[in-house]
Amino acid sequence: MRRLLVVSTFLLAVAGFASIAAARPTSDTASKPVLTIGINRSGTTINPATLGDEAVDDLAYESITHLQPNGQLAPGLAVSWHYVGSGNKTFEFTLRKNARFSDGTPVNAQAVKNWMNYYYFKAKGLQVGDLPVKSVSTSGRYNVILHLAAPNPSAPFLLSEVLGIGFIGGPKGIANPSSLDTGTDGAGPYVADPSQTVSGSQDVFVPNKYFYDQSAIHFSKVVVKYITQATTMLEAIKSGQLDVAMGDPSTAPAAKSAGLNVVSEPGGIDILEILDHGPKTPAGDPNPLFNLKLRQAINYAIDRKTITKAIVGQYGTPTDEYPTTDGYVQSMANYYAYNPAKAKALLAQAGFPNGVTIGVAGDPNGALGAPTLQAVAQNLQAVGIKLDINQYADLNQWVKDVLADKYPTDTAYEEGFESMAQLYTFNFEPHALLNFGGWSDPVLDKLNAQAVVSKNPGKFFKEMSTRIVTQGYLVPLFIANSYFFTQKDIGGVAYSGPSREPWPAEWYKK
Amino acid sequence: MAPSLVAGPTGKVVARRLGFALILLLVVSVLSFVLESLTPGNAALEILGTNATRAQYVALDKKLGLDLPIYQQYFNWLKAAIGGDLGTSVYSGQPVAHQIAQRLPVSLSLVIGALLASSVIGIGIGVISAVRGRAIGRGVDVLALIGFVLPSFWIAAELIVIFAVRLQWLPATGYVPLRTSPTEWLRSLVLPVASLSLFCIAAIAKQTREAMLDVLGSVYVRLARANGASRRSIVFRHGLRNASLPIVTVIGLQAVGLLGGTVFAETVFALPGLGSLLVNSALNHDLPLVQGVTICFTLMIVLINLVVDVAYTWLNPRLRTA
Repeated sequence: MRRLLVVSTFLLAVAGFASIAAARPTSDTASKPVLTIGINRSGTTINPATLGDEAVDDLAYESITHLQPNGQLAPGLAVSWHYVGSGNKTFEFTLRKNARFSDGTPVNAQAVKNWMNYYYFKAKGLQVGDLPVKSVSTSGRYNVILHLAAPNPSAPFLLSEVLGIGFIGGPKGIANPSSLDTGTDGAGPYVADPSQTVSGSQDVFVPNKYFYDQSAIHFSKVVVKYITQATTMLEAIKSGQLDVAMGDPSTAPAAKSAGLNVVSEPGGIDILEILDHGPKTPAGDPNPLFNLKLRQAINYAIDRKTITKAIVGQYGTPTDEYPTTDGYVQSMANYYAYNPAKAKALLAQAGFPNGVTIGVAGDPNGALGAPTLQAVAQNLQAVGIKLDINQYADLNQWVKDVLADKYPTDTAYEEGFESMAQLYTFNFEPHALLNFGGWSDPVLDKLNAQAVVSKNPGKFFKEMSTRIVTQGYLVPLFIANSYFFTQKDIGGVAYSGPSREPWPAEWYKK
Repeated sequence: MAPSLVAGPTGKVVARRLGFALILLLVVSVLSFVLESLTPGNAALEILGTNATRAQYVALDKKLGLDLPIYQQYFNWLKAAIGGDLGTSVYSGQPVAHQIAQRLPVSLSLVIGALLASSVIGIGIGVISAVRGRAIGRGVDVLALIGFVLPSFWIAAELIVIFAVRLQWLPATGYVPLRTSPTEWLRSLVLPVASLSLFCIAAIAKQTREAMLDVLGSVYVRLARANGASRRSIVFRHGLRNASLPIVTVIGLQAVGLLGGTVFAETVFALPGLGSLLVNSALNHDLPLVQGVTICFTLMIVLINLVVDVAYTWLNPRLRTA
């Protein structure tokens, strides 16, 4: 009797387990499929004015301009735009007339003005410093005018999806900002469904019935899952739990072996930054890096092609030019062809025939940090330039010490590519965050001053990029790719360096 | 509560534990605040990243109150906490209490599930091995060794590969709330609970076996056997009940260990629980959130110890009349 009881209990347990295992979620009964995306960031809020994630916000919020995968701008909420007058200080855009927020409220100039006032002056969104605005006004029912705090020729680019400034929310969200942590009030193709949100684990989006282009809605539901571990993300997409996953260089080969599509595009730059450009070091001694020939020697001494292949394999491109979104000059990308003999000669001409030692703060970026720096140090050692490396394990301490100008150079991996205006503001403007000692280059300053007020700033930005390369102000190493893994039946996952990420609103099931 | 219970041993145990808990909470809150403050970096840096101006850092530091001296920041937090306000996350702007309330059910599901599974299986295996004899006993020893040696994160990875990727029986990641779907809730917990439980099963099985062997070899059990008591009565009434004190102790210890285990399990399986919240808030230098979650974990440990103490009192009649 007892044995029968034990066997019965065991069989019941097995049956229970099997039924649990077999009870897989049924797919949505609507005709359109469900898309499940894995995002490798922790999801605490989806408010685009605070800590929102651009890839997630793109589902529910239409941006003012739309950045295409080829880097070109197309209409978003705005159908046209231009600067008013000269000087790039007043920017006006005209809204499309058929856009509505997810509660049916029309998107008009007043609504956009209200949102931008909320973003800039109440929420103080994280990116306000990239496009400082003094005030917002309207002209007619559909024209919005931004009065910029300083000349900025990049407003159309900055008002796209790329930084999140361009995502426009509605009056309901402004009235109750905390509702935007798990809900949305945008004019995009989808709207968040907070009832299906699992805080920190997933957000769910359903079609916005008021979106102006219903044919662009390809899914009955979009589920965004937040998974921070790269291996967990890989296993999730291999198991079929995800359709698209943000990838990682360490898991890209395994993803490919598993038969997944690996979409990989330039996504960041690994760079040896020269921070002390001026004639004196913080201690008051002569700064060797002030010497042009030394900076050029450093650039010639590094075998970028070999380092790129060793560190990122096929998923990277060597470059000695920082790939700004609007100033990149293709012909300058290989200006400093690897030439250790020339590097030694330049070093001698610079007054260092017996070599020189330069301090560097090594960034703690796992795969792209220490190994890259070690490879660079070997190249430089071979020509007589010794790097005194302080390799950091803690990102916060590295940033703190770099900002305190404790080292004349640092290495960094930067995700995404800055515009030339951003690069100049952070690295070359007098007293910029990463420019110590008050140094400036009058040629760069003049070019930037011309660019920010010009109707065709591109030509000035290109001249600035050329100047930065020929003067050896930076030592870019390689452009590294970012990765998205997709199941074979997902299409539309495409992007390029300037567009930074593919936008989920454009994906579809084949 | 009846006056006799309040004045009795159980009441005294509860009162003593509560008094100790208050002191413990104060000490833990000071320690966690100081330790977090001493780690490099700050919340402003985490929020703004590296591409902000110095003016932006300074402004945000001031807005978040991070420019105040540490002791002032702590007393501000303590004053609010005593009034029931755990503050707001400096990183997300959401109330700390709200975030904890959202994530507590996840961690509780994990810990209680692992504890129940471990206790039932561990005690069962331990009793069987003590009663059945040598071969099974040696088997339990081997199982215990395996459980102690194999790292939980490796077990988790293997479980995912086998059950999620290859067989596709269970989800690799994510959590489904109980109110959404009880079946999916269970499915989302099977692998994380399994990965946490192996070590606990081993520990509980080993302790149960040792305690049972000790009791089953005692004089009064031999006497009971001689008087014709049934095997069932020997094992459960005389054996297990008298062996329960050390078993309860090890279960209590495992429960505390499981709280720490939630950190790795929630990370590997992408579960939005308190463990992953604590890790993220520590990395983000989100002091109010670190404090809130630490206090929550401390309260849970106090509760576990209280339950163990009350269980002692109930299981050991001598303690009731002491």
